[in-house]
Amino acid sequence: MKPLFSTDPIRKTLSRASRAPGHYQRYALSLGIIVLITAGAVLVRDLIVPTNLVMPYLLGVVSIAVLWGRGPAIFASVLGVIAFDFFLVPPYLTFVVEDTEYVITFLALFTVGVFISGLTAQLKDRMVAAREGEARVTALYRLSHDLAAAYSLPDVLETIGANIRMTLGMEVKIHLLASPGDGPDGPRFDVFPRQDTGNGGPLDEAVVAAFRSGRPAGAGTQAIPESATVNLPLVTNRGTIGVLSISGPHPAENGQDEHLQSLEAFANLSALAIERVYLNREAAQAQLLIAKGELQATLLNSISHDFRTPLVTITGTLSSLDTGIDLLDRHSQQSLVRHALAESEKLNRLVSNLLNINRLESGALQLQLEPVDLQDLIGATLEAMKNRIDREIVISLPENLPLVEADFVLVQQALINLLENALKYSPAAAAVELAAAAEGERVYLTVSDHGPGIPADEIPHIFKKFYRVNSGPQPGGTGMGLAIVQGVMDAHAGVVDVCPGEEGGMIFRLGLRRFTMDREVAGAG
Amino acid sequence: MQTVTWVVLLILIVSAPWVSRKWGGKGDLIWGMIAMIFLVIVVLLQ
Repeated sequence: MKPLFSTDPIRKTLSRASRAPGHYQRYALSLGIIVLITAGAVLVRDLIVPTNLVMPYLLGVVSIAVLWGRGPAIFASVLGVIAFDFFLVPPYLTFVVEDTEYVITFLALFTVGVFISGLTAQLKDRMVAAREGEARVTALYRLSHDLAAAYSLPDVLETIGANIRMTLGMEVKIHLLASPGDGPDGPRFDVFPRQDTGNGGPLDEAVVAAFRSGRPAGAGTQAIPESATVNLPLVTNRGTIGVLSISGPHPAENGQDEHLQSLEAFANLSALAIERVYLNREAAQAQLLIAKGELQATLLNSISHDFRTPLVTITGTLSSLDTGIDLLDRHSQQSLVRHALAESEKLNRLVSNLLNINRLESGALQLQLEPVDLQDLIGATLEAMKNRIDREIVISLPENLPLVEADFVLVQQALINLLENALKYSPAAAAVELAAAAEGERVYLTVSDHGPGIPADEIPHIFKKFYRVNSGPQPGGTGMGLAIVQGVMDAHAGVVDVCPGEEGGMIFRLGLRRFTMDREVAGAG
Repeated sequence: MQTVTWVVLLILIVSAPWVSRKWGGKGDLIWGMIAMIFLVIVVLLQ
């Protein structure tokens, strides 16, 4: 992808500054230029009148002012006057002048040199300031542009680091407050990028100073200037949330203020981006809490209704037996007791489902994996459901069906839930089919019904907790049955899928791993 | 006389960067004026 910006202005400005000659070198080079001009002038001094020989010196002073500033230019002016007097004004090689009017020429050369160097230096300063300002704005724009595309905290931190590294050519460490406030042992920070040695190393004194004062500290600042890093507090509306620690080549003394301003602007923009991530995170948490509240309300509505119905039946039955036991014949009494028993079993199943889903979600469930014969599993399931099965269950099992590796009780619970749904949501006359087949590494158990089916747009949601299909009959339920099936299959690393049947209704399929001796030996080892 | 002049001028030339570092822009200007006044005095006295 073509980069939005093709230049690195601030880094260029910095590298230009680092390539520039040092303070003493500038004076030495100025001396060299005056020596060269004098050498040239000496060669032509017999051809040109001395006053005209002043011009090359003026040109040299202006050039020096443009290149290296006012100090070397004034130095060159004085050197020019000395050289002009000594080598170019008769009598040569002495400070004596044959005409005292040359003193005016000397003063004019010095004054014009000082004046021009002052103006040139001023112009150059403005030019540099304008270039740096432009570079700063461009770099800040680039940072804000990149930050706008970063959403997660690691992305934002990576963007800040990469941007400052690229634009300023400096290394960045971002210290983010790990726990709110300044503890008794000082603030605790998470440091990015994370170091190999972890985050437990001693903190730079300047980092803590910047955090506590809310002002820059370290190299080029008034607080702990001996530090190797510049540390800028990340200040937001909620207070200081961390410190941006920057190390690398710092500009010369006269450019430090502007440089520090640039870094502060970077730090402010970074702080805003980090705060935005925090706010987004808080908004997401708030939304989660709202959703949780809605979920709890749904759960209460659902459970209170489904628990109340069997409880009311049991209470009514028992109170009938209590008040009218003498009036009822033995058959009626047995009928009422059976009815109460069936309702209490229903209540028991609801509570079991609730407990199971809680255990599945909390991860507290310990699978008791064992080789399971699906014929035994189906037999035990049908036996457990015999009071609830009101129609024919068509079972189709192939011979030599392999064993599966499963927790017998949990898979039986999953099968009960599927069969209950099939019985509940299909007409009483329609048969429910139960089949099994081996395919590759898995053995699949299939439950098919001939009910009204589930609309295609609702199929992706039916395994969610407390989800109830909106269309069709509503025979009651908590919306936990299929969530438990999904949870049990996930715990077994198995699969559960659903598709519409060819003759209507739905087909649910549980896929369990085939039992192999290798796994048992490995498990035993 | 010439030797003294050269010694003083040499001291002035060598001290220029140090004066600049120590006193900044004003230091440069004052250094230049002292050097020029010295030079004019030398020229006029000789």
